[in-house]
Amino acid sequence: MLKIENVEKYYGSKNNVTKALDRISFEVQRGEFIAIMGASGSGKTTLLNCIATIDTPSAGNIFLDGVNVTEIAPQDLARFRREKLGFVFQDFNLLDTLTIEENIALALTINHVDAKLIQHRVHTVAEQLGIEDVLNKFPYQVSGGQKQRAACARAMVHKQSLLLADEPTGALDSKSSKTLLEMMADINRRIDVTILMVTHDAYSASYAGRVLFLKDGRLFNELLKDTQPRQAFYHEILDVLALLGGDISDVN
Amino acid sequence: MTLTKLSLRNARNQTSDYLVYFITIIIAAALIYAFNGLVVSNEIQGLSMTMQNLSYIIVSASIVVVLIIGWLINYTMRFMLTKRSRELGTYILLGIEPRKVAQMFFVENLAIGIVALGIGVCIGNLIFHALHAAIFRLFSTAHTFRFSFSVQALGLTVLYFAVIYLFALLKSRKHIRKMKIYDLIYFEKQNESAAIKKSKSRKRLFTASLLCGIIGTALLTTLNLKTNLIGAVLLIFFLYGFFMSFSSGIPSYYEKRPTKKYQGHKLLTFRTLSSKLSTIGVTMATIALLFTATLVAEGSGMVFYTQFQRQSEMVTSYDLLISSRSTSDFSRYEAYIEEHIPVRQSRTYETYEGDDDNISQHLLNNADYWTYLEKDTVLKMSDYSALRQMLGYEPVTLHDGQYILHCMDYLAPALEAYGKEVAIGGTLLTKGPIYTEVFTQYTWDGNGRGFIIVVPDELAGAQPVCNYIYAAMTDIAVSGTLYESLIALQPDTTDDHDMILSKAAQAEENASLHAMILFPLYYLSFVFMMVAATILSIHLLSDTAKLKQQYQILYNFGMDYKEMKKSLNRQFALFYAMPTIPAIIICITFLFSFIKVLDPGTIASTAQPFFIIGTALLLFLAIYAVYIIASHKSLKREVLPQQ
Repeated sequence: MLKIENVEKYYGSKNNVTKALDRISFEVQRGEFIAIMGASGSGKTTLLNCIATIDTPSAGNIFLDGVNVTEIAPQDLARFRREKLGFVFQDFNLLDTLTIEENIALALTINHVDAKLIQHRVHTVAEQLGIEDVLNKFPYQVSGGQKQRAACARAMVHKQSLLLADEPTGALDSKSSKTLLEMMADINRRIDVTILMVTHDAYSASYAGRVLFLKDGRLFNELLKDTQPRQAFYHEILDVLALLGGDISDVN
Repeated sequence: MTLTKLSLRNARNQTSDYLVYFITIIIAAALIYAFNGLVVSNEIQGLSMTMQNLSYIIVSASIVVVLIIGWLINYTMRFMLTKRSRELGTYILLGIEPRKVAQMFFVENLAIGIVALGIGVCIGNLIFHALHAAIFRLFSTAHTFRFSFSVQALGLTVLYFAVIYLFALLKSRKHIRKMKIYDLIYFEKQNESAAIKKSKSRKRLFTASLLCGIIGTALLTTLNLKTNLIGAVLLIFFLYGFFMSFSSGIPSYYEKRPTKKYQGHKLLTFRTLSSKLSTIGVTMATIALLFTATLVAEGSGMVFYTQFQRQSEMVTSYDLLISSRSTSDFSRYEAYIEEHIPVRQSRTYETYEGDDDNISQHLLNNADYWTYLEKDTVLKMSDYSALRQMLGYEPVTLHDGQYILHCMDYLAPALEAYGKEVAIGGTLLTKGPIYTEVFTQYTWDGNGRGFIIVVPDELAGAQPVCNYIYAAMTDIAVSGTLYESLIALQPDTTDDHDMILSKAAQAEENASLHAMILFPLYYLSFVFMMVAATILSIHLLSDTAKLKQQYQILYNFGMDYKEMKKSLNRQFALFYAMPTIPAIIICITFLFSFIKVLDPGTIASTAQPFFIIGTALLLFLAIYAVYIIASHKSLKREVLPQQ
């Protein structure tokens, strides 16, 4: 469903070009849970932003559901984003003036969903993610884990094709992280939500089915979980990270 | 880097962040200086006897201005304190004593104040000269522009500012000293909470405040000092109660109607507004109160202006009029006039009593009219012709068997409808033409009260005399000492004194009233308006970062640019409209009833009240628009993501 083809991204002026992404290519199948790992500055967030249509690649193509997102007219980008993509950010990005329910509903009101259906759909998703009892609370009244689950709910309530998560556990404690990741893996399995997660945390990545490693803007390695238990996969990821060296070695 | 240097650098940064506030302080300093200039100006005081009162009135107005500006400075300082609590907390964390941090913060604000005061005084001096010239123009006195700078006015202005800043210093010092590092650093994490939470008490307060609003507005229209005061107190309660409960009330309204909430983009608008109102409900009420005061002051100013204009036109058409009920002997005045006042043309004549008061009765029943005269007043045609010629009006003819009516313009429609004959000494006359030029009919000492019947000389001459009148057109203005000397010539009796009216003296009196009532009213309303609009703008602009983040999230989620723009505009419009709506409603009701107490005839047409109120509103909205446009531009630029 997602196809990245020779994507490149340059920053800077003529004499001083920084290559943030260097001929990246890979594919994501529907229902996959894929993690992209790399040190800070490796280009993983740039890649995510390009897929998210928040940033535009300097070269290459990105296809989502057969549509080349790099060719979408600027005036149609917003529509594409709200219909196809769901976002989960490290710092939740919930609007603190809205209740949890309203935050989730926001994705539907932006999509002009019939007002009568909204409450029901929000409650359904909230139930799937185990946050139905905090729906009437404001973000500041709930825990970080609940906030992030609300963000996930918002990212999937409109049945978006792809859930993009940028360091979703970055602001959570280890227990909340674990719950969130288990939940993400669960919805991926049960409801077939396609997830693309960017992280520099090996533990988080171990919940994915496949891990791509980025280094200095290039695809460095790829790991498949297959049938092995999560623990083993985690260690495999750590081994690759050790090979990658640099500043990731101090992670976990 | 010394702490003072840091303070000054911060001050410079603050100035660009709080540009609206800075400009308001400059204008406030300018206005305070300009009006202080009037207080200490000997030239202005010497214009007329009553102008000495101007000082007292302006000083009183200035005290109110100092209180309001003090509130603004204090409010903004506290506001900056909370917005910059993390920074201040960091200073304390680094080991700077809280006392020093408070001092730093104060030096910063003082620096802003001193710069604003300096610029303000320079601008204020220009405003002073403009006001000075305007007052001289009002008095029709020759005025040559002479650039001057009043040290006394500067001293007064500095004194006012010193008081304001001393007070602000004490308050902010107490505030900083009391705060703990934790509170300072984590201040931003404190959440907004509704002022009144319980739904029941909220509903009660909301209903009670609305009731108070309606009763208060109704009482304001009674135009009785006592009930007006009660009305004002009720309205204050209404504004505070309304804004405190309304902000908590919107969420509960939508909670019960989820479908409504999710329609269109109401969700964002109502939530942003209610979260804003729940923290600044009290401020919003104060702003609404200031707006109400502004509008009432501006509107009343317009009403007074209309009254003064009308009065100076209507009171007398002659340059000089002396009227007596008892004697035709004006020799005591004539001697003085001959010696001191060059007369172009004069006439001594009488007005007479008619047989009845039919026309007065007709007017009492059909127009806004009053009279103390027992009979309708009559004038000889020969006198009428001569007076018309003296006043430069077109000559008219009186046909046989007819009478002419000369009346104040506003009474003409009622008199057109009067078709009856008039009996003078038993002779019946039919109605002839009506004339409405200004003809000294405002009071009862001139040519009739509101109207006069002009009849053939032989008929009028046989009637009892009503008034003996000396009327003159002069080559110089009969005002100041000339007018006072004439007044001094009046006989010493209490019950029977002559009426002396002078066009120039009336104009002078109106000019004094103008200067004493209108100038302070506009001074106050301008300051109220600016302070309120500034606080609104500061609140909105300080939320820029928060709003920007909010719209960035919405952008990421794929909200259309057009919709984001619409949603932001709606939030913006509601924010600025909230405090103005109650103010406009209260003001319109008050002004319509206030206009009713004006002298009959002051309001020439039914459209005029609308014109007066419209002008007051327009003036208000014009100044408000400047603030709205400025903040809207900067908000739109900062908040909406690049397309």
